[in-house]
Amino acid sequence: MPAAATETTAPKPKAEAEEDGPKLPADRYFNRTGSTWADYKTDWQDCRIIARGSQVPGQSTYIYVPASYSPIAAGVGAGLGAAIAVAIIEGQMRRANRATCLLIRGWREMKLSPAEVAMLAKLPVAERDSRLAEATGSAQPALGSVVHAWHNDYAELQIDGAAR
Amino acid sequence: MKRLTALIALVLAAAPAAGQLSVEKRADLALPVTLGPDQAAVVFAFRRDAAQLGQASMVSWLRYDLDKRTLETQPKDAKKQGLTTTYAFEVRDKGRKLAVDYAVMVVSAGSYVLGGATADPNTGISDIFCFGAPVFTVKPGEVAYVGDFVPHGITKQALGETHNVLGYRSDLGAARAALAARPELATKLAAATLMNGAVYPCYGGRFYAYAIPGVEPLPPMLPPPASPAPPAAMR
Repeated sequence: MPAAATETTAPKPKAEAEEDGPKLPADRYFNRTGSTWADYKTDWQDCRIIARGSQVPGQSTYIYVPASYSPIAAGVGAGLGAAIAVAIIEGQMRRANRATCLLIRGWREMKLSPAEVAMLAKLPVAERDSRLAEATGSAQPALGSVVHAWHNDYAELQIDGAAR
Repeated sequence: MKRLTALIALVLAAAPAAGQLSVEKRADLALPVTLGPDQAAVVFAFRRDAAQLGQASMVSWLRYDLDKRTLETQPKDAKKQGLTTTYAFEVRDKGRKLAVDYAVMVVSAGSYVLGGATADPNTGISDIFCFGAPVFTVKPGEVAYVGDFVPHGITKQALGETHNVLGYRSDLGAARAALAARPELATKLAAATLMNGAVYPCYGGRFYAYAIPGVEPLPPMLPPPASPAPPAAMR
């Protein structure tokens, strides 16, 4: 089930939570018409591996990329502070790359309004999970609004929804 | 003496460019462009309308194995082996203020996939198109026009994301006219056959997909050939 608006256990450190499986901020979820939370989990895991450079996108081939060169990391400098900065930047980049991977697979990132977050927080866990699971696969989800969807906008400039 | 120097210069200019593992230098269009037996020429342009003046880009292309649908990587000991196959080439935009900047790259024949781009040609490639990119194939002796890239620079998108945008246009006639002074290229110039959707391992940057509008995707990969049936005597 999707990460809920309320967590009953203490949050894990970010890096550890990353490895466990899909966890979204309390106000976001992904939607793809006809899909289930299990589909999302599968794609999330695939995209996690791809974003680390361990798998060719769209194929089942696993690869090993030795000491890959990161232009972003290279710009940061040296030393322990820099190493932490690099880790943060690389973590952010991995998350962004994983999200792009999901968008390319047809998922849309949805953002809940504060009122929807508050409403979900008041529901019993089973009902809340059921509402979110339904929204995950709905063609016209009752919860949230689209904040990210795939478009070929690297090649086709889009401003305010219009290609030019 | 002057005539001898001129003759030597002419002979050197007529010699094909030595094969290189990684090509960054454009062909010098002030001199005749001669291709080696396994070489081809690829032609690109960076094109700017008034709105894009001041913007620039650089694109990289990587050798691609269409059968395996992944990169054909350079062997570690390629230099020791004396290999001259092109495994990568970069096309660097040189004209932020030019309406159009044509570049001709002499590379080994083979298939190449769009490996990445950047909005600043003075830095390394920052954006990798491993989620799906255009690929083309050139045969020995061919002169292939791949297209014009339109650098928009870092641009805010409709849904709020901000990233580099590199448009694409195709104008074979303009490319042929631009190469008129090099008839050895202009007469052989033909549009490259491009296909979208070539994937490869993601590493070292921000990952995207880049699809040239109107270009067909690669056909699905063929399943691996079935193992040959054992001889009747072994069954």
